[in-house]
Formats: sequence, C-alpha cells, structure tokens
Amino acid sequence: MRPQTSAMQSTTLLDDPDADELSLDGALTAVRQWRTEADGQHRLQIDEIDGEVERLRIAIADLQRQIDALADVRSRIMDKRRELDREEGQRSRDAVFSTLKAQADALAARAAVAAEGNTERWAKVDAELAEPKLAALAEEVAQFQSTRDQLAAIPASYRGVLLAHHEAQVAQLREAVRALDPGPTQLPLAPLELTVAYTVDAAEGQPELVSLILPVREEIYAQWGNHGDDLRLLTAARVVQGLYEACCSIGLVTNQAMHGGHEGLLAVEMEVGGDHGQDTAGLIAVSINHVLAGAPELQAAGVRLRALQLPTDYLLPADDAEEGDDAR
Amino acid sequence: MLADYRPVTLSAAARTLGVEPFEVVRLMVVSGAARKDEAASSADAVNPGELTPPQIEALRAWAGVETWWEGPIEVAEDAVGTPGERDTILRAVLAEMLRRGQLGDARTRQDNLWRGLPKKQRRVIDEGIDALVGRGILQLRHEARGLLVSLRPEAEERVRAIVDGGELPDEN
Repeated sequence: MRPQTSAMQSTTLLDDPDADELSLDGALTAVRQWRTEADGQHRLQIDEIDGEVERLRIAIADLQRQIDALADVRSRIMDKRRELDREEGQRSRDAVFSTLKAQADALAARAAVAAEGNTERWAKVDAELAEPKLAALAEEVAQFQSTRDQLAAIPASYRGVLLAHHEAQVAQLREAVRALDPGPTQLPLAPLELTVAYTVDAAEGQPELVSLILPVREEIYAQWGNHGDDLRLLTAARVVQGLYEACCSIGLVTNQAMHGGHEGLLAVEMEVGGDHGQDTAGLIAVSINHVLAGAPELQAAGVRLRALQLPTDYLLPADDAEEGDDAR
Repeated sequence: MLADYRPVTLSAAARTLGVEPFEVVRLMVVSGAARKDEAASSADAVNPGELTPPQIEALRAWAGVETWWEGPIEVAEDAVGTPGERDTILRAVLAEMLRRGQLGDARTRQDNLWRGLPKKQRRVIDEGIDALVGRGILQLRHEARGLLVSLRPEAEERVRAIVDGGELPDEN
C-alpha cells in the first residue's frame, strides 16, 4: 500500500463524488449547455453587430443618396452658370441693338429738322441770288443751255471757245452760290449723342474683319435712290469715310467695304487682314471719330457720334460670329 | 434753275457716276490718298455731302467710270427667260470688251460692264463674270480705283469664237 499522498488525503477528505459528477453524459451535457450558452451569447453579439452594420449601411446609402442629390443640384447650377455667359451675351446684344435702334429713330427725327433747316438755307441763298446782276448771269447761262444742241453745227474751234466761256460763267455762278452759302443751318437743339458700334474679328491675334453697326436704319442706304440725301445718309457716309481713311493710312487702298442690314440697322464690314504693325482697331476708331467730329453737317445738327468697340458676340450671335453675317 | 449751282449732293453724285454713294466716298478718299493730297485727309476737304461737278468728273476720270450702254441689250423675244437670254447678254458684253480692247493689262472697272443696263441684265452679267473667270476667260484684279476686269490674252481666240456664236461656258 502506497503511503497516502496529500491528494489522496484531500480526496479522502472530500465527500465521495456524487452520481452527477461521475456522469459522463452529465459532463458532456454541461459542455453542450456551455456551448449553447456561449453560441447564444455570440449570436446575440453577432446579431447586434450585424444589426449595427446594417443600420450603418442604410445610413451610408442614405448619405450617398443625399450626396448624389446635391451633386445633381450642383451640376444644374453649373449648367445655369455656364448659361449665364450665353444669356449675358444675348442680353448685351439686345441692349446694344435696342439702344442703336432708339438712336436711329432719334437721328431720323433730327434729320427731319435738319432737312427743314436746309430748305431755309437754300431759300436764303436763292433770295440773295435774285440780285439783278446774278439773276442776269443765271438767265444767260440757262439760255445757252437751251441752245446747246445747236453747237454741233458750229466749227470745233468756235465751239470750244463757247463751251469754255459757258463753263466759266457756270463756275462764276457756283462761286456766287458758294460765297452766299452760310453752310448747314445751326439747329438750336440739345446735342444728340449717338454711337457707331464696331467689333474687330481677330483670328490668332491679327485683326481680320472690322464690322460696324450704325445708328441708321438699313433701308436708308438700301433705298438711297428714293430717299436722297439727308442727315442719316450723310452720317453713314462719314463713318465709311473714316473707315477708308484709316485703311488708306495703313496702305489698304484696294479694300472695299461691304454693306447690308443687321437687325434692321445698316451694317458695314471690311477685311483688314494682316499685320500692319499697329493697332488697327484703335486706328479705325480714331479715324472715324476724327471725321465725325469735323463734319460740318453733323456739327450744325448737334449730332455727336463716337465709335465704340464692343466684343464680337455683342454685335453678332455666336454662330454668326464664326460663320459670317448678313453683309453683302 | 438756281438749284443747279448748289453743291452736288452725295446721292446726286452717285447717280451721275452710276455708282453707289459709298463708292463715291471711297473714290474721294482713295483718290485723295493716291494724289497724296494732304487736304484730303480732313473731314472738311473730303465732304461727301457737297461735291462740285468738276470734282465728280475728276473722280470719273481717275476711277475710269464709263457708261457703255445707253439702254438694255437686245434679246430676241423667243430667248427671253431661256438660257439663250443669258448667252445673248454675255456675248454682247464680251464683244464690247473686245471692241474696246479690254485685254490683258488694259483693264476696266467691273461695273462698267453693266452700267446703263436694267437690273435684270446687270444680275446676269454679275453672275456670268464669276463663270467666265472660273473658265479662264476673264481675269479680275483689285486696284485702288476699283475691281477691274479684262479678257485673258490667251482666251482671245476663244472669246472671238463665242462672240461669233460659239458656246459660252455654263454657270456651273
């Protein structure tokens, strides 16, 4: 018999194990119960976690939808913002043309007054020409004109003398008219400030085409044969004079301006292509303004025009600015 | 009567010359520049609203403005409204160019070819010039006095044949 160990002693001190402790089924059942409880706890934890994850996924999806919605709003605002450029161009074009049309109407009204002044001007000159000596000269010239057909029967050398004398008489009458002419009638009206809008189409930095819109209705020039001269036609003529003077100053003596209508107003265009070593657009403005400022008929009528350069898309819609306009 | 001695208006000058008012202005400016006339650069000196007959005639001479026709080119009744009408008009113009010796360097203003003719015939000539240039019969040149045209020297024989009734190049 082995000596009793402490373990044996402790064993002997314990109560005899009961039947449950000796039951293997029981032991394993306990294990299974532990396992079940542990599984249950883990499942609960996992379920909680899964639930939390699902809640977070739903929250994320909701946030993503909000982000997408905001992105969509942002995109629409950006489109509207881009649209602002186009709309600004359109509003600017509308402002330019409505103003120029109003100016054209104002110029038409001023032209009517100037025409009355012109009638008075020449009536005064005709009254002065009624002076006996001049009247006799005019009568003599008129008489010669009426017999002009008979000159063919006269020998050439005699005919030459008669014609030369006739030209001298006519020149004398013209000079008398010129001396009596007080010039365009000064109108006692407030100054009328008008604008010649122009743009320079510059491809690759070099000016190619100058386009001008005048405060004159298109039909004034289109039907010049019917309207005759009035302040509107002369205004247009002065602008074109300034344009050609500018071109001549930089050696462009063969270029010809084209004209037509744009939005009911008279438009003039000229190709000025090439590097002329100076600011072509500025030169044109200076030249036009110089001519306009010095025009006696405009001064007398109190009409002050100035050339104003504008962006191309203020005068021409974007597609026309690329493809060309209505000018002939 | 006394009105005849007033300055000539721009539109009257344009009618006298047979050009548009802007062309009168252009000729005034460019001819002044060509003559290096200092006075021509000021608004007072170049006054398109008040010209004198001598000024107008000086412009006419400088620019070579001529009126070749005093009435419409005669077109046979049965040709009116047909391609034959175009051919008749263009033949008449080519014949006149030959008669006036507008060959090679002897150029004339393009608008001389139709000045004095009714609008309908002008349009035919304007369109015909493009075709004739394209077919090597006419040549164009931009000069200070205007757009000038002449017959190509190498096309003289062909032009004479056309004037004698030969076929004209079509518009295309």
